[in-house]
Amino acid sequence: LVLAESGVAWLPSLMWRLDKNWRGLRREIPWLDAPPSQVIRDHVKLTVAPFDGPPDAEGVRRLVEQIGSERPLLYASDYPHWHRRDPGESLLRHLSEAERANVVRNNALELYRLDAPVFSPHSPAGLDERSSVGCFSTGAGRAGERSMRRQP
Amino acid sequence: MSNPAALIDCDVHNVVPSAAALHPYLPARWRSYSEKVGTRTYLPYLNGYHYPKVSRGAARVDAWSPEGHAPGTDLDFLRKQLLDEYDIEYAVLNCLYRAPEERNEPYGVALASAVNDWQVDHWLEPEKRLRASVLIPFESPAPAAAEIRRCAQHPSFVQVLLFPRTKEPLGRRKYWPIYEAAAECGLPIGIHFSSTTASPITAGGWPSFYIEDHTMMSVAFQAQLTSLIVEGVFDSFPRLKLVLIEGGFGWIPSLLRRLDDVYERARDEVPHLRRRPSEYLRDHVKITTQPMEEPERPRDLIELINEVGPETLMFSTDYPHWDFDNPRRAFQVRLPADLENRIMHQNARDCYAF
Repeated sequence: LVLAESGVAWLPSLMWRLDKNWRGLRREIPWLDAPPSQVIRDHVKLTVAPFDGPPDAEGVRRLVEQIGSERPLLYASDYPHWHRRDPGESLLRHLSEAERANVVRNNALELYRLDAPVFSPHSPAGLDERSSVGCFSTGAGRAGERSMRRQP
Repeated sequence: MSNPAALIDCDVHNVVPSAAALHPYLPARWRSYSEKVGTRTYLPYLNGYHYPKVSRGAARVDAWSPEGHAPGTDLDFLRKQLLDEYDIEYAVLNCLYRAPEERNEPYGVALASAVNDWQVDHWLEPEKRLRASVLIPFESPAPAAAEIRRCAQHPSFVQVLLFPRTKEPLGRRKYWPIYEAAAECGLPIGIHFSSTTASPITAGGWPSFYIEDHTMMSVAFQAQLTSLIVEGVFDSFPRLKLVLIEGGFGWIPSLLRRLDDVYERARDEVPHLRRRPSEYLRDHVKITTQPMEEPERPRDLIELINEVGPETLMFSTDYPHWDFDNPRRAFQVRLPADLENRIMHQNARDCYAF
């Protein structure tokens, strides 16, 4: 699940409240056998424009730790819309290089399988797992240097 | 600062035991109506309220008195189980009788007055540790304002009670007679967790489960706080105080940050605001603590409280409901002494002039 343009700073307090209520009310929803925060961390990504986290580096660090890591965060520009707080200025500069790489690139690559083998009309290999959801390659270069695209 | 061990409980529920209990306080016309027609609210469930069977009356299972009185109906048992047990100096009663949601408008007005008179006779006069909120028919603002002015004459009424799921956002002009009367009488507006309107109770529509209703209540509080700020209620009623009761407070920092950000862009839309949205919190808003926020890392609670403001939070138990917070165990971390004093009693003294 991807939440786009939703903000991210509200997520920790929602997870705390959901987990607390799950402990008190799980009889009502017995099929949920893990804390809701774990379900969220396993399944949910959020785009970071507009970024609604704290203005200071320490606050941003605390927010990322409360979310659990930077792995749920996806860079977005929201072009052509405008927001007062650009994610580069307000979020990315407070992250480590590795975290930044995940937010601006790797998290999305993995989520959307942008560098996975894809079916292409030009590929003699034919069907692969992507073809089952009707996706076609639009050309070389999109997945960058880690491309696993089959050679013709 | 007064006694540092003091405790003021800012959310306790007294319960009207039956429709007949209000009959002595209703005019003959509405007593007859109560007997022949009865209460019909605009909530969309055929069989009454939608709290689940797993927690009847949303109450603690031990809150039935030994004599079998239902939770919140028996003053002696409330004294024993709450006031004496935790040595509570004052407790603020929020009676959640469904008068504001009555479809027959004048009957709802009469019911609210009856509940307030019943509170005086059965709770406020017999027990001086108790204070109460004025129940008002808030969808009928003119009679609601009259009820505020009537009840404000009794010194044990310390607040006006609203619910967070209303027919329109609470900042709308329709509701301003309520704020005018409250400000004039020096009573804070309290908005308490409750969940019945004809409108869907979450921002995404009607949910299936109580856990969704309970969790998403904070979103209703966010909408109401936002509406009250941006409609200019605090600019027009500079002495008005607002108390958010049982809505949580973990969402406050992110909401206000977001509101300030959008305000920078959209301030021309709301030129009547004299300050940035977040700046209204400190002077106008208190928030009760139950259900306590429980961050995964307990130390984050102190950080959160400081962000919300050390003068903002007021302790509450929500007795006799199932999600009661025990004052001895509610905080996952030990608070600094001055912060603890503020939350356990001093902020409430400032808010309610105890």
